[in-house]
Amino acid sequence: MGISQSTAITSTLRDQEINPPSDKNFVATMMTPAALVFLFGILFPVLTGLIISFTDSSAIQGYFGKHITLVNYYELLLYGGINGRDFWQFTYQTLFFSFVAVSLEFLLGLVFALMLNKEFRGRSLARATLLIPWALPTIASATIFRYEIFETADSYGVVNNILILLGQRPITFFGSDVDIIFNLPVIYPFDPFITQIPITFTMFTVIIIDVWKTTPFFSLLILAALQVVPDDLYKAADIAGASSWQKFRYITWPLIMPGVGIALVFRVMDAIRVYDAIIVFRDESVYSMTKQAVDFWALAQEYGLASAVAVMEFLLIIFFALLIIALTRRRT
Amino acid sequence: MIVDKSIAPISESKILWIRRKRLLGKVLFFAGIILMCLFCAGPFIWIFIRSLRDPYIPQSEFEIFPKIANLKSYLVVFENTEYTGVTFDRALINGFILSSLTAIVVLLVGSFVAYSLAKFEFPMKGVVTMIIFAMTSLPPLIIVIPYFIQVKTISEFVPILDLHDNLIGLVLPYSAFNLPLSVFVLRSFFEEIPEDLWKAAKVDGASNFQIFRKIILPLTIPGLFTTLMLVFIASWNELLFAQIWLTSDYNHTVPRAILRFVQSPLSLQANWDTDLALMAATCIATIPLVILVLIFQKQLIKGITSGAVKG
Repeated sequence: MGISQSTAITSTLRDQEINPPSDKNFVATMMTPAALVFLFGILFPVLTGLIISFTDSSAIQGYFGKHITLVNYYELLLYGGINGRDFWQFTYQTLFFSFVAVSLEFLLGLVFALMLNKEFRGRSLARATLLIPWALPTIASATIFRYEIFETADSYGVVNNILILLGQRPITFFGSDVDIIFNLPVIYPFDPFITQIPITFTMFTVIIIDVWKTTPFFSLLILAALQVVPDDLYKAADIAGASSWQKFRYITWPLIMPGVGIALVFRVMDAIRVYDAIIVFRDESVYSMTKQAVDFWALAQEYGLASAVAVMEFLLIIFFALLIIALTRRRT
Repeated sequence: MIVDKSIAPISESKILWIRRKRLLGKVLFFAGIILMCLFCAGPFIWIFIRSLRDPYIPQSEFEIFPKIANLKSYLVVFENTEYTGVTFDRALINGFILSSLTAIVVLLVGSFVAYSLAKFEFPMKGVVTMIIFAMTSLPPLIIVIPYFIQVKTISEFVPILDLHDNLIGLVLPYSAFNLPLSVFVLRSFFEEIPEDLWKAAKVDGASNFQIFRKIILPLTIPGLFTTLMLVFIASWNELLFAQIWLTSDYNHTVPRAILRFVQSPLSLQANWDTDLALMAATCIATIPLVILVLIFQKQLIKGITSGAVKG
């Protein structure tokens, strides 16, 4: 009995020596601060936001409203009042903006990344310049393009002065007499007729702002994905006599696809949330869902409606993120 | 002899042709590179040149370089605060305080999570990663309204916690929004640490926290610094939360100050060129970042790419 007791004691001692504190406790301790940030910074706010989107919360009715209703969603989606019209218009505009901007960023980013993937003198300098647009506040890039680059010729706008130099007609990029590029046909669910949303040069400007700001980021991500492609594959393709398009199509593209997919997901999520780039214009033809939610909150003080817009935006973001993940997964 | 006759003339002209093609390719390639650099740096360089103009002299015609470069536009921004209602020096200080606080909080909290994710197996690991990824997809308004209500409700019971219109109140949501990125970046840096080192320390009897503090953290200082800068830049540039949260002019951050500068109705009566003053303000807000980014470009690129590609 004495022997077994002593072995038991020594064995527990040894256990303690070899595995001093348990990993489980350590991980739990390490996670606690993040869990607190998540709880008070994300989870509680999101749940509260969900709840008040189903109430008549407003400046008059109080933060949590008086009734639990579906009226916010009905007003936005089906009722067809001014708020609903705005909601659908801004949603279409947000989606149009996101689609065009992210496509352009992707194509341009791919070109940049393929160029930077070659060895040449001054490569690190070229890479460094890519970081400049990325580091600037979006509101700063918006003011640069709004008040300098695309300004009217009288106010020394760069693009319009170049157009005049080339003997072309200057373009009005914003203001009340803005030039319209084309009309986007859309459907409102409360309206039997197909209606049109004018896509103006203001929208073009906003897209350029976003492209300028985030193409470098995109190309850096693609560049990182390109590092994964082994050089041997290209050498083998050269020996087999493949053209550069074939090399890109059958070697580069399949290998960078997963990395590009993740970059696309991040970009689309960000593009749908667009806000900073559009507010300097004060023009409804470029307003986004975030802008409408902010206006409901700050101007109309309809907190329930604002939350409902935010929830719809969240659903859209999730939908497109999952869609892109599914598309890029299937092809690889 | 037959072979010589048939090959020699063809190969000579062909070599010339290949050489020309290569030269053309090289020229096109460098033209592309220069275009790319112009695309990225051009607008910024342009507004910098513009901001060196004298804002009191009306410009008569479109010209690229000003005849006399001076810094009067910058003085306009700092001196006429009662005119524009924007105190730019205050905004710079506020931005620095807020961004540094956020960066430190995120670094502390994020490195704990990232280390656990990188080096430990535990139940629900996949769920934790999914939650962190999902955090990046939230629209800001779904957070900021309820957060506002949450703070207002709490402050009814504890008045000292009324953090509305207070820089400290923004640290929590900023940290929450920057946490995912920093966790992914830091995790990739922690994963680079060889497993043997970690095991050796464990055999020597170091506790998990000792290993983390005395071995892992000193080894990942470049990674920590990169994360610090990424979070700093992101918080410095954030507008929406700041716009809703910080209502008084005294608590401006830099992007809010620029927006106020754009929308300030008083500046319409100014006797200087408001566009030039705005460009000077934009330069003030961006030049520190541009310098920072150009100095630490290598670390930043590593951070950006490691965070997203592995996420």
